Amino acid sequence: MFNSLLRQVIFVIFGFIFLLNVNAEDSFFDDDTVFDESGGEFDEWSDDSDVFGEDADIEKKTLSWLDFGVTQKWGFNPASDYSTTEERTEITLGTSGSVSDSGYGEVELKATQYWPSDSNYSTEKNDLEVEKAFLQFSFDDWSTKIGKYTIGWGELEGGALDVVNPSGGLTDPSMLPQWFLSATRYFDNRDLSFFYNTNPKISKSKLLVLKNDTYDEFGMRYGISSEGSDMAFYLGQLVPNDALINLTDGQVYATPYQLIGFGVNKAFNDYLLKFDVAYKNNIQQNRTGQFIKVDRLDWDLAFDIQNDDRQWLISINSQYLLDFADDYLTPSILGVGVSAKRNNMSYMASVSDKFGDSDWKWGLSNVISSNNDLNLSSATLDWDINDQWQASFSGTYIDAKDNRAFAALDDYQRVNLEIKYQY
Amino acid sequence: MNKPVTNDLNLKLLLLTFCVAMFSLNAVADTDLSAREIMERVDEESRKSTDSAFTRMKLTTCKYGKKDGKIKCAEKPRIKLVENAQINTGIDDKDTKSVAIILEPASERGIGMLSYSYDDSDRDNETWLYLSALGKVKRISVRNSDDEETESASIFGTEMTTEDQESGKLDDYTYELLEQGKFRGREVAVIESTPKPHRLSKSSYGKTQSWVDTERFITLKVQMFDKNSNPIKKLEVGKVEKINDVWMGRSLTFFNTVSNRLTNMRLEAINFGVDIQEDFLTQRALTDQAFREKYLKDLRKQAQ
Repeated sequence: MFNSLLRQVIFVIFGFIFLLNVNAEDSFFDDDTVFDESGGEFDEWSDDSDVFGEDADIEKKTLSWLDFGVTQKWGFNPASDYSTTEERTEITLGTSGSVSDSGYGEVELKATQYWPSDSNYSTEKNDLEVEKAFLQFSFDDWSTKIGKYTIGWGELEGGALDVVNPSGGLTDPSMLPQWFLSATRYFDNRDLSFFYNTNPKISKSKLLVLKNDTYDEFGMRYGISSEGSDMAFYLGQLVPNDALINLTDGQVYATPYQLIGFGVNKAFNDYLLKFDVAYKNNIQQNRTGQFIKVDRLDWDLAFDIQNDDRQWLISINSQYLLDFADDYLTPSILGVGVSAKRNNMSYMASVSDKFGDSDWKWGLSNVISSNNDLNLSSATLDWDINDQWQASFSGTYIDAKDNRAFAALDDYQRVNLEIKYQY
Repeated sequence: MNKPVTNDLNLKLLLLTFCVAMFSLNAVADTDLSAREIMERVDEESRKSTDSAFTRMKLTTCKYGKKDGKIKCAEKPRIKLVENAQINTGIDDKDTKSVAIILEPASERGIGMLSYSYDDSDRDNETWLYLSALGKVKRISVRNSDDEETESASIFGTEMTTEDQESGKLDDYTYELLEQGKFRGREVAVIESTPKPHRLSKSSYGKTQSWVDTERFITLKVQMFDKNSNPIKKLEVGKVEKINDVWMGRSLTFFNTVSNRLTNMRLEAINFGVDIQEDFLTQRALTDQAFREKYLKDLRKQAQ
C-alpha cells in the first residue's frame, strides 16, 4: 500500500517536472523557422543580432546551493518474456562549496526505492546512503582529503592497477566510492600521494558471511607528468574488491595482498597508448583441498582513439600466475571449482559516437574474458534531451562456456531503460 | 556524477586566435604590410591581450534557421558558463597554458580542463580532464593525425573545435592578400591562409579567409572551407570594444553551415594582467578542488 502510494507520488513528481519542461519548450520552438540547406549569406550580421532571444539567459535556481536528481531505472529480461528484473527510483540530494579559506567540500545523499518487481526487493526494499561526502584542505604544496570518494589508480579503467575502489560488477562497471583519508604533496610536474582506508568495501553475495577479519588498506602513488606522456609508480597493501570462496570450507575470504605497479600513457597523434603492469603478492588461490596464496603478474595495454566525436577503446589484459600447478581451481559463480589457467587473457573493444550533430549518442562494446570463458556484448543509446533531462537505453547479452566459471551467466540477457532528471 | 564532456574539450584560450587584437597607433588604413606580416600582427597583438587573462564566458549552442530573413535559434539553446584562466609562456611567450572550469549547467559543474598549447608545430598540444567519478586525471588525445577524413574535436560539445582555437604555428601556412577595402565600416584586408602539405593532413580545413581590421589588427570574420573549397563554417566577431586599451570582440559566433548549428561565445567578464601563477596551471588545479577554489576566489577578487 505504502509502496503503491510512494510510487504514485514519484511518478507525479516526474510527470510534473516533465510537463514544466515541455511547456517551457513550447515557448521557444517556432514552426516558422526554416532551415537553410547550405550556408546562407549573413552579410547583414550585426552586433545586435538577437539569435537566441530570452532563451539565452541562464535560469536562476530557487535553491542554487542544492543539486537535486531523480533517476528511474527499469530492467527487463528478454529471455523470460521481458519480465521485469529491475525497477527502482533513486533520488539524490547534494551540495558543494568552499569551507573556510582553504577548504572545499561536497556531499551527496542517495535514497533508493526498490519496487516489488525489482530483484533486490526480496532482500532490501529501500536504502539511504551517503553516495559521496568529502572535505578537502589545501596548504602550500600539500592537500588532504577525508571522506567518501573515489581514487583511480592506473591508466585503464578496470585494468591491472584500478584496484582501489570496487565496481558495481560485470554488468555495471561504475566505481563505488569508499571512505578514505588521503594526502598529496605536489612538486613541479610530479606528485606523491598516500591513502588509508580502515574499512575497505568488499563485494560478495548477501548470502555469504566474510570469514576473515577486516584489514586496513593503504597505498602510495608517485606521478610524473611530462610532455606527451604521464607515468606513475604504485605501492600498496590492498584488500581484494571481491571476496573469494574457499572451495575447501565453503567460506568466503578477502585477505590483503601487496602490490608494486607502474602505469604510463603516451600520446601518439590522435590516439593515446595506455599501459599498466602490477606485481601482486599473496593473492588468494584455490587448489585441490587447499586455499593458498600465490604471486601474480597483471598487465594491460590499451589504445584510446579519438576521431571527431567517435571514440574507440581497444584493450588487452593479462593475469599471469607466477606459481602454478595443474590442480589450481577457479570457483564458478555457483561455488563449484573448475580448473584454473595460468594465464587469463581478456580483450575489450568499444566504440561510441553521436548520430550526426544530434543529441543522440550510441555505443557498442564487446568483452571477451578469461580466455573466452565469457563473451559480453552490449549496446547503448543515450539521449541528451536537454541540460536537465537524459534518457538511456541499453541491451546486454552474455555468452558463457557451460563448463567453466561463468556458466551461470550463459545466455544472460537484459534490456535497461533509465530516465534521469537533474536540477 | 560526472557527465563525460565528450570528446575532448580543449578550451584553450578561447580568446586566442580570433578574439583579440591591440590598437596600433601607427597603423594606416591601406596597409603596406604583406599578408604574412598582417597575420603576424594579429597573432602578436592577440597574445598581448590574452596574457594573464581571467575570463568568464557563456557558450550558447543551438540549431539555427532563418525567420523573416533573420537568423534565429530553432530550438532551446544549450548554455554553458565557463571560467578560464590563461597565461603565455615558453620562448618569446608564444606558448599558452590555461585551465577552464564549467560553472553551469549543474550536471557538468566542476568539470575542469587543463590545456597546454605550443607554438612550435613539431610539438603537439596537450589536454587533461579530471573525471571525479573515476577519481583521476585523464589525458585527452588531441587530433594531430594524418587521417584526412577526421575532424578536430569539438569543445564542450559546441561548434568550436580545438583547431579553431589554435594559435601560433604561423609557419604551417601560406598567406595571400586577396583584397583590401571597407567591411562594416572598417578598413580590412581579406587574407587567405592555406595550410602547407604537412599541416593540411592534420587540418579540417582546406583554407580559411580572414577579414582583418588593418587598424586594430583584430579579425572580424573568418570563412572556413573544406578540402574541396566548399564553405563549411563561418565565424562572425561582434561587440568589438576597447577594454583596458585592448580591442576585442566580446561576442564570437561560429556557424556550421553544413549542420546548421551555431555556437555563440560571449565574454561576460574579462580581466587582463591578472596575477596568475604558472603553478596554478598544472594538474593540481584539476585534482585539488580546495586549491582551485582558493585560487579562483583570488582571481575573482582581482577581477572585480
